[in-house]
Amino acid sequence: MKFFKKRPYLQFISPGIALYSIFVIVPVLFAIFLSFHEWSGIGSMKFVGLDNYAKLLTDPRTSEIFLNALGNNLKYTLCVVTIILGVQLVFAYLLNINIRGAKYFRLMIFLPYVISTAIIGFFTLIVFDPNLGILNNILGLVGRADLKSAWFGDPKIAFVLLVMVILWQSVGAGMMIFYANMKDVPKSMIEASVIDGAGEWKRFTNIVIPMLGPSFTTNIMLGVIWGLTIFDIPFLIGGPQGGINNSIDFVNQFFYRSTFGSAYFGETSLGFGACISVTMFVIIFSISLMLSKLLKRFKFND
Amino acid sequence: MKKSFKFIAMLLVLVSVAFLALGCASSATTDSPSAEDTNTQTAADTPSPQPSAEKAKLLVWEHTPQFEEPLKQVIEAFKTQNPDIDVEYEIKTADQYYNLLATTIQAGEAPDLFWTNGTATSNYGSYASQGVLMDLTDKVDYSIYPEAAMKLVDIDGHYYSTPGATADTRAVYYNKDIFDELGLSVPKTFDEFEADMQTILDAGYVPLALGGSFFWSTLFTFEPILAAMEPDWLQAAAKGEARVNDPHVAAVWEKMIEWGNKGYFGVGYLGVDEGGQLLAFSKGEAAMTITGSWNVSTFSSNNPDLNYGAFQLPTKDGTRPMIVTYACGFAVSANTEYPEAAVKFAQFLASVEGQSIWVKALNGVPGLSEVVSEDPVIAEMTQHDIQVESFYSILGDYASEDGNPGQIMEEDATKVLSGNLTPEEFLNSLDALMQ
Repeated sequence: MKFFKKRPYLQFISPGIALYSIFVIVPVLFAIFLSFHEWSGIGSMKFVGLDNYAKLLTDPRTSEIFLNALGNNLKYTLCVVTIILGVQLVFAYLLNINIRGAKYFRLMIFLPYVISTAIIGFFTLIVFDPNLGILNNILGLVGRADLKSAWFGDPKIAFVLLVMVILWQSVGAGMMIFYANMKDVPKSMIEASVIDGAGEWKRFTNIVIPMLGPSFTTNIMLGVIWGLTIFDIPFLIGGPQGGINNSIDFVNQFFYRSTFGSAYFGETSLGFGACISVTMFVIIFSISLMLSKLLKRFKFND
Repeated sequence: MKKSFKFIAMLLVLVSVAFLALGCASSATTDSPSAEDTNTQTAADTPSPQPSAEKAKLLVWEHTPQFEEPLKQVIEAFKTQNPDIDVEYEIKTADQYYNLLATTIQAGEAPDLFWTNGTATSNYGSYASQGVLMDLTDKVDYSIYPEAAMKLVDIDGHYYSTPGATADTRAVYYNKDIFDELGLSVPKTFDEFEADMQTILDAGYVPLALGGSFFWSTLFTFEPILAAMEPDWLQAAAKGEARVNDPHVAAVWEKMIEWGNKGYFGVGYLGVDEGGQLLAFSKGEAAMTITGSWNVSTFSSNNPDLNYGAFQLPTKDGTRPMIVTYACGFAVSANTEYPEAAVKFAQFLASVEGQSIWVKALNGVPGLSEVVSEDPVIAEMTQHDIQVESFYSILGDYASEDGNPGQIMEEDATKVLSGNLTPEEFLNSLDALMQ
């Protein structure tokens, strides 16, 4: 008790620590513990040591699927940080300089973000289904039936289509963060640059972008973490198997079908799933650490 | 200004705590752990005024909305005969069913009765060995069932589930209007079937709708084509006398790939899932589709005006093989609060009366000679010359001790159609996991 009395701040934070431990720390420790066992969810656990990790990283079949999924995650994260971020930046700037109809565009761009992802999954079915979807039907009607495609059934374009759908949905959120930050750019600076004869592009690259440090940090961090843990839209579109030829298979879907079993099969393997999640935890943690150091170096963190 | 702020903040905190308390209280009575896609219905016609302390309440879980109607009707009939037992049911979606079931069993709140796929999936055996299922061997009358139906519920001589009285088969459903328009009749040989598909393609319809992105649609189309092309191999394999990486089986996959490339499955069939496949047929965009006998009522409920029939795919010489797999029924939880009532319900499900109601409501193919179906499509579909096994059942029957060919099949079958895996590689990987 003396320990606590001498440090009153501990008494203040103990409820928070208790809740955090119960809901975050303990499950993480349990997951690490579970990854060394084999367990189907009911009944007893069997200790198997590093077998799960060996299977994940060296078994030819499983490791190929895992590395494919991980590669998809990294590819996707790259797309988020470059393409999606770029589009959000450009849109935010266009709204900032108040082009015609800015208020209308702001609403329309942000609207897809509030639609729930389950509805978006269904929406992709309505648009992209090869037989019943709107897209193929319109192509047939305007006489371009040669462009009809399997869309998400074509392994070559499924990934690109997925990024486009997610771009459509998520441009709104990041754009608003950039837009809010742009409002902080002092008007006097902009006016001074106009007087000095700087064109639109120079203004954009030399004045506005350098001042967007905080929002860049936020968006990049969020984008990376989101890219590494994405699950909902690819699952709704491609199912637990991750689409044709695992083209839109991501690590979380791989985790889902290993742990809970795929469609009808029902083989649950919680130990292996815990192993996947511990591995991903290590990967995401190291990437986040590197990223925050990198962002600090570029003085994006004010 | 500050004071009213404080007051509003206090109010908000109270309201959120109240909601939290309400949520916790109601989650103790509602059963489903996942809020989406569950459908809770009380099958009671008359609301019971004051449930007496002894009134038994049973909860039944079913895995797909396709079986909601038969279950509802069986429950109605049961309740008229047993007014002192209250029965409710919940329908889950098929791809979440086993996750939800495992979670609820683990939480100790398993429903009193729940559907399983019997010995067709491995978790039935593990549930039985861990004492999750009640042993029904001496409690339910199984005498009317043929051995093939009992195979699905039997673990080492003990029965843990009611059998299914629908003998499920797969058939080629065809759109009678399109056939009439093109002057086609039900093909009598395999070659005639292929020629018909070309005619239909030239006329601008999709000859054979297939949901290529969904494994089970591919499987249910593959099995009848295998039976029509290689019935001898199939019958030998059912006895354990043929391997799955036989060139005959590879030839069937090659045939399917060839049909896909010719456009017989429609443009971009690899992007279609099961729902899309069934809808394409229901809407009349596809002239034919191969799927299970359990979908007879799906088409008429999708499109009541659809004029359709079904036939078994014939071999080169006109023999019609019919694949028969028995469905499975419901298992009883070992920890049910009302064991007597649960067993009574299980017995009713397994009786001729219960099964007749089920088969009729589902429009299924009866597997018991005592149960007769009146549906004309079923009558047309079940005309056959020889009975054969399903390929998937053979994989399950002859799987090696720790091999899981069903899982490999589920993960890789669609890759064969998309050209990412050759049929030989695929079949070799399956064969490696067989005895």
